Amino acid sequence: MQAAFDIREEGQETILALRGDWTVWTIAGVDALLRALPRKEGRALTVDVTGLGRMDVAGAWLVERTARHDDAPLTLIGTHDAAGRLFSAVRASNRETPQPQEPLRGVIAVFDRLGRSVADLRREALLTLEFLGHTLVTLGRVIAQPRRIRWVSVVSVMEQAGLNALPIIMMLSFFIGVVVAFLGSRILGDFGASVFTVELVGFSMLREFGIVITAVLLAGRTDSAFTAQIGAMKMRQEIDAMRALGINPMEAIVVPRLIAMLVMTPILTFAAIIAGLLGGLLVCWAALGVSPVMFVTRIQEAVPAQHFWAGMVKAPVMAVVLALVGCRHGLETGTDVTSLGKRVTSSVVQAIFLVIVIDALFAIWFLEMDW
Amino acid sequence: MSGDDDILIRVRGLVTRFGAQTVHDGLDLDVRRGEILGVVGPSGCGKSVLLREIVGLDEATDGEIEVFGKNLAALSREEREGVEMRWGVMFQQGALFSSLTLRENVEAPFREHTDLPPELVGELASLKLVMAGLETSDHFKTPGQISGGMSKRAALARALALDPELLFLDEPTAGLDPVTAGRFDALLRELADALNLTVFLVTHDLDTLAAVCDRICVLYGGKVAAIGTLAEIKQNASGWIADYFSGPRGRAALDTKGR
Repeated sequence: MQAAFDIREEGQETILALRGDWTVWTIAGVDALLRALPRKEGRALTVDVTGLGRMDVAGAWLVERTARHDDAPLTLIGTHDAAGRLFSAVRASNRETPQPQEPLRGVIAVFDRLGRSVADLRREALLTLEFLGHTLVTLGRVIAQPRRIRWVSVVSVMEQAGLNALPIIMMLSFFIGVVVAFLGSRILGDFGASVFTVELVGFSMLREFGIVITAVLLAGRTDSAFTAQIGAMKMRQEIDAMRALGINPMEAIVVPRLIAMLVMTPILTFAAIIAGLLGGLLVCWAALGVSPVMFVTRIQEAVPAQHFWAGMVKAPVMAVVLALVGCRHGLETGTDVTSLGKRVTSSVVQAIFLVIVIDALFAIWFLEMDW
Repeated sequence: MSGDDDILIRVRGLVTRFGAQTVHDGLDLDVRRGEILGVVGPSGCGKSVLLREIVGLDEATDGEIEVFGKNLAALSREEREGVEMRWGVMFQQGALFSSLTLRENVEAPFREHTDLPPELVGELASLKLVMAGLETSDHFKTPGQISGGMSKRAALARALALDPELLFLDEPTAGLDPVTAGRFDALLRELADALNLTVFLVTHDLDTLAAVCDRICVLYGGKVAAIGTLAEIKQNASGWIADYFSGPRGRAALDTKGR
């Protein structure tokens, strides 16, 4: 039965007569009514519980809130098996309800977030550089004492993060090769120069697509896994345990991942290039009638090896970026689940962002150097 | 039978097996309305599993469990939800939602199951937190910012949010220092009396047993090896139970109680 009440005045007393059940399930209707009651300072409130059904803490709270200004104990009319007990329990815990900080709204909130992101950007950049330095020092120390390299860890990361990514990277690269070749045959065909499709495929795969596809895929696949793994370890205090046991987390976690990525990224890039060329080769064969032998010969003649190196030289740089961004965000994870989610997101976003920006910088540099 | 009404949890012939390992082997147990029942037993004897099976998180291999006179396994989803709202569960690690503040944690059950106005929900959540011993300055902290004792209090407040009649506690004082644990025990006794709660309390803590429990149930060898008040159990103690209550740690805790 829903909660209800009557209110009546008897001399100096205000009598609140409760009817029905006053439990968390039944009080929704009376909350606003009780809140709207005019306050009568200094007047005693008497509660009539003769018509009261069941009552729980939530119901008792409503009555207590109505009587809050009155320090004297509530006077009860009638008897109830729980009401008196509940009223005193609630009264003992009655405090001014604290209000949460109102979140900013509207334009101010937009500016607030913008300002914070700009400030964060600077901080993030500094922290990433600091982490880079820290890692390089640790790496140098480990290389000076090769016994300290954790080979089991290195090989395991190489398999999970590198070898297992090989099929998907090759497949995607193959399709990019197909798309580039089709585009080339269409557009170059308009100029009657469709034979140059071979060069287009060769140049783009060797210089740009091989490495960029590999790096972006690794950012989505491997870098996120690094952050999630290390972040979960951080949350479960495993990182603290390592420190307490005298194991340097940089050495045990970051360096093996860095080494594994340095080894695997060039190999994956090479595989991506070959797969892309294969895609281009098939399209050229099917659409342009360029035989595979012709394709390979033409690549050898028209695309000098320097283009291959211009692509491959970026691989170690991307490897460092991916390993560092992934590990750093993992280690920065806080104690709660939300921060892990945020960290994984920003890790992937930052890694892809850096991959594209670094690739662009390389492109400008190579152009200026005429490589 | 009129006595049925006073038995909130009835377990009959409960069998639980994990592979070849038998945890419960024909276990019978009654929990009476209004009592605090302490469940003890050696590590791995299936105390927590029993709790999880009663609240329906794990499934027993065989046997019957009735809560509020209803066989949970036979209920429809809606009926089950209705029963679930009449109990509160506090997990061993607190299990607070780490992305929410303490007050939002306590507000969560209200928001999910009731249609109370948000302002009232805030008031009630704060009230529950104060009742569980957390002053208002802590209500907007997140679980990451508070100590173990405070997490347990917040978890208790969340378990009590919808005014349950039946409260399940899994090792509420584990990992707390003796002073904090003692305060928690006192709080539990106080709340149980004020709110007329029935409590199913899994514990290892002899002090808690001595301070708050009306009856104690000893699980041993997959069955209830003994059940009764502390005095009754101590009188007829033998084997593991005697070791448990008369070992150096047991004696110290029980001596304090006797004084």
